[in-house]
Amino acid sequence: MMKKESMQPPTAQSKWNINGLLSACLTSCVLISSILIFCGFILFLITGLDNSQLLFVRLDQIPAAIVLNLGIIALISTPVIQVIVALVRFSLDKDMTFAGISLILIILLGICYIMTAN
Amino acid sequence: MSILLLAATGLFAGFFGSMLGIGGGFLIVPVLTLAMRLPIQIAIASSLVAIVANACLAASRYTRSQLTNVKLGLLLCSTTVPGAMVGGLLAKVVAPEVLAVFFGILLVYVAWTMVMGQDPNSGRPNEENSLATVGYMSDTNSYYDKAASKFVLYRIRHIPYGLGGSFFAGVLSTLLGIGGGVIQVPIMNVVMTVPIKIAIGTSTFMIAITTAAGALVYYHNDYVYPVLVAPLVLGTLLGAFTGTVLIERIRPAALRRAFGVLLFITAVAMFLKVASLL
Repeated sequence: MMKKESMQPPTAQSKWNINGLLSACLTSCVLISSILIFCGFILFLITGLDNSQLLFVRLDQIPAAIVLNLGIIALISTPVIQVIVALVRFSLDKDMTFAGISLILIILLGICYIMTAN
Repeated sequence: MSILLLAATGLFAGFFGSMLGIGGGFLIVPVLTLAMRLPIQIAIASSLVAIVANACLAASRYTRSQLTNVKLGLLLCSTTVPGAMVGGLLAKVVAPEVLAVFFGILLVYVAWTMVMGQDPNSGRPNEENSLATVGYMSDTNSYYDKAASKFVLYRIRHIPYGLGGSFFAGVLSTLLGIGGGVIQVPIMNVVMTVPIKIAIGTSTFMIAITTAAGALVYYHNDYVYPVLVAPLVLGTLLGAFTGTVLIERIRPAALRRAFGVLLFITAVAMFLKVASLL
């Protein structure tokens, strides 16, 4: 039998349930990273580099590097952050099965990163 | 010109990727390598960052609209990631061409099933072998389908097959260099009887997690060129936003058919790739 709250429209559900929390986390991280990437890219364009080297400049060669770099790091760290947020949420909810699964996933991602980076 | 091409590529990849629950790398990598003549490592690195952007934005909207089953996504990720690691080890001993032929045949069969069949489990929860009966979740799941203006009830079935299939998806995605979504969405929809919109939303959530690990590695190894990636990512975000707005208004049957066609194209591309190597 279905629970009563699942009949509510999505917008009426608790803001801080797992879906609401992860959505807020993802939205914030994507917004921050896209603003940083956009600003960094505009800064790069107004510095006026030669077109022939336009796409291949390295991080340490342009003044806008720090902004672009931060945006990209924020973006590719977002999914890892969401698994950490899920781990915290499930732990607070005493849902140890999914807290455990989230923890295993973080460990696996760490192992995967170490294995391939080396 | 290059900047415009990058932004347009990102726009298309983000739009179709978010609507079909796939990464969009199938579009980005060929454009960067064939049209822009970039080295494959740089193309893959740029593609991975764009896929993360696409998946994160799409997942944020699908999660808020209850189109993502977070628990199911985390559960399946727990076997997809080890599968990808095993795939990396198997790559040294298994000929990918042989695997590609068998996988291509399987894709044609699944494509046919998705185009001709109906969305399973919509509105008819089933007790047999569901998440509820194996103790992972407490009740029937539901989501609000805006296109049909009604709540859809569903139960997730055949969890062991789903976990096995996800492991297999991880292995294949590394061995064949294809996106996880092409495999994960049919597994959830056809095998686990998850409605197509939930399968796409959950697949997007999973892609964000599994792709991030690869993107971090490429970033660590200095393959990510920020000025190359920036227009690609900005275009992808715009495309993904549009795709996620549209998906809620599209009927599930149309989405299943579109996904079936995508699978068929992927299968043909695999056969052609193998044929060119023989």
